[in-house]
Amino acid sequence: MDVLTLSRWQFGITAAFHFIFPSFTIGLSLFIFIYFLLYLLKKDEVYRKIGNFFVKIFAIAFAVGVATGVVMEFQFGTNWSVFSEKAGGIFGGPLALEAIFAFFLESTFLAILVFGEKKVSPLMRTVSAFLVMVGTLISGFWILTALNWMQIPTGFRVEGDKIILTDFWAISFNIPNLIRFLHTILACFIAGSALVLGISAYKILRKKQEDIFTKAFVPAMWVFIISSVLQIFAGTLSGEYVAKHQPLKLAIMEALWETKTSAPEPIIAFIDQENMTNVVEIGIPGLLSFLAYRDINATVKGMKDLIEEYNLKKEELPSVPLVFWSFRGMVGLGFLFVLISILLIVLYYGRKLSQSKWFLWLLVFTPPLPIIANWLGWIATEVGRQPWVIYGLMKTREGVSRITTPEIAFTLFFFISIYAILLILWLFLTFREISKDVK
Amino acid sequence: MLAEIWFFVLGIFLIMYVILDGFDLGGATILPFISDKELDKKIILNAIGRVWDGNEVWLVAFGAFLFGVFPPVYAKFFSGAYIPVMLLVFVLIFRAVSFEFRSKVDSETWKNIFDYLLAFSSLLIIVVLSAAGANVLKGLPIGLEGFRLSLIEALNPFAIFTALTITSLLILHSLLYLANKTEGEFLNKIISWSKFFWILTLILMVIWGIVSAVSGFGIYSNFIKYPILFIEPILTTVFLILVLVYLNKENFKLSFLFSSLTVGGSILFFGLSMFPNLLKSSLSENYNLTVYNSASGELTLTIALVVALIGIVLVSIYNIYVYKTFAGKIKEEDLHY
Repeated sequence: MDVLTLSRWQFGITAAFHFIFPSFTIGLSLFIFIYFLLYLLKKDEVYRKIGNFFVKIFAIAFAVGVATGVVMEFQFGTNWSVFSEKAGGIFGGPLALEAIFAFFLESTFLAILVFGEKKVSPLMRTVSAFLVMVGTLISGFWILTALNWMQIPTGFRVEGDKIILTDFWAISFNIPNLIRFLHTILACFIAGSALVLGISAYKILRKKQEDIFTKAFVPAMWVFIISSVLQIFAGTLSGEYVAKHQPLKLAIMEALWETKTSAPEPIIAFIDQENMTNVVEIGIPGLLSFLAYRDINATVKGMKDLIEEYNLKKEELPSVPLVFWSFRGMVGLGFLFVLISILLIVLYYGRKLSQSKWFLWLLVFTPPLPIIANWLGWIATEVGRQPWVIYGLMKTREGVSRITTPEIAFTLFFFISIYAILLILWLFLTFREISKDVK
Repeated sequence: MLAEIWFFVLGIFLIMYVILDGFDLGGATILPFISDKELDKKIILNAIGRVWDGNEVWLVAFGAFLFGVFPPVYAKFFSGAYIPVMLLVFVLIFRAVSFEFRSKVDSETWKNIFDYLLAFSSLLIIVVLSAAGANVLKGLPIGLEGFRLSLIEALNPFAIFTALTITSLLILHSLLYLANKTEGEFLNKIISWSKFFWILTLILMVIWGIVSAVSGFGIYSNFIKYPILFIEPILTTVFLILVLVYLNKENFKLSFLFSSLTVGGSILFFGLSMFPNLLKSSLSENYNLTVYNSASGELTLTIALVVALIGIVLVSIYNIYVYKTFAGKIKEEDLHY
């Protein structure tokens, strides 16, 4: 394999592994804040203890998140140096903002949360939990700003071989970026609340400190329900902006080869990429036109016309089935979370939650699902952007470093080995903390 | 003008990083060797464990601002020194997780494994970063297409000697931090170790000064052009002497202050020697990456500067708060790890 392919694999593997941890910690930081706040408001010791219990689980995930996150920052320079050199004046900015406004905040106040119980007042501890949560959100915002700019480049001009920033507000506080931020943060809230629900359900099933974990359960339930429902709207809106700014990505996600008016939304398609056609396709008439442009008669451009328009070769298209099915996997999981939300409400108000063992067991196995959904969504969005690294502006193969195949093969091997060990250690230590009693 | 200012702002980030992370890197390096007692080790781990993460952010921030403000420098250096940079990445991973994992395991064997992992990764971080600094100071074989530097080339004698000197300095620096955090018998041990590392550091720094002067790498060319700059290395030496003066008086706060200034002075020396170059080419001056030919557009530099200044103020507030909260000697009941 060549440097480009290996670099893409290395970036994909390290990013996918990293994404597990912020998904959980962004969500968990919200709950740690909620529990400490409830402790302040209700003066109920139990909430303080629950907060401390989740601080430990948070700290382990946070450590792995930091370790694997630093890798991401270095990799733009090591493996994508041509991209970095050309676009650094824009792309580097959000990373710097993330470091200075988020990382310092998170690391400082996490230290207060972990070490400061005897040193600071309960109010200050709640404030620290709040600031850690704000830090994770700021971090998410700026990294998504950088990624969103690669999807929808704005606020720049090209001068020679450099991309120069001309409008900072345009790259950061634009509507598609804010919607993408909302979409991703909701995904992280779903992951975090699924984790709290899973742990609480397990404790209730095992009859360990049931009363305590019933109290932990309730806020997580509401966050899960609200986030899952809002996600449908945030996701749909995200899709509309893909249609508006990235027509080729939309066509790839929907496996749409020919330009169509009143385009159907395929549920299932057997895609023959070689011959640029779908062998079998079952879809809902007009729905794609409606979702993309809020008009069932709207015209949606197909890949065949678009590659001509963008002057691409058909070999440059990414794997259409991969993007198509990843997207459907994410949407399917999103609807599963809504279904779980409905069951949660029905069982909770029917006062049948604690008797419904099957449902509690379902919750125990829920936490990995939002992570899978996040991966699939991220594959759809990033692979769907190919062949570009900056949509319409720079191709991925033009951005790669002038390094050698043995070098990257060596580091890829190391990353896979180290990450496998990290995964095992993280799971082992997290399960151990979960198995302990709340004290 | 803006680009020149940015050279010094990045310098502040680097100085803050080396002073702050320096003592937790040094402290972790000596962890398995300075004492066999679990309590002593726990004191070290607690003294550095609560601040290391925030300290390392200075490096991340340095990297991110370098990326945004001088993209060609970030891109050419990171890809050119691919394997050395990746080695740094791997040890940063090990170190970041070792702190947290060590606190969560019970068995002696696992604790020992993580102690050595922490020490080894921290030492390697010091070595790789110092060697990187030495190679930048010495000049890299930069041509039209950038440069390539293997691990073997990166670990040349000058780089290894620089790494040795910096390691000794940072261990001294960490011992003085720990002197502020410990009491009794363990404190006495730390004081005697400090004296040993003070002598070692002084010897290494003097030799380093001579080696760098006769090396022919042009390290002193700015100083020869503006002799007034020689005040800086002289002051740094004075700071190092004051470290011992206050150590002998058992005033550990001032002693640590002067070791911080010695560390800061060493990095400032590096900056004064480099300016206005960010990366020097050993092949031809034409390939030097300077603040003038590698800066981003003006808007990026302006926004980044405003952001950096606001950020530095905010971070100083957080730091004052956290160091105040955890000020003073560490008592057994404060232990978390």
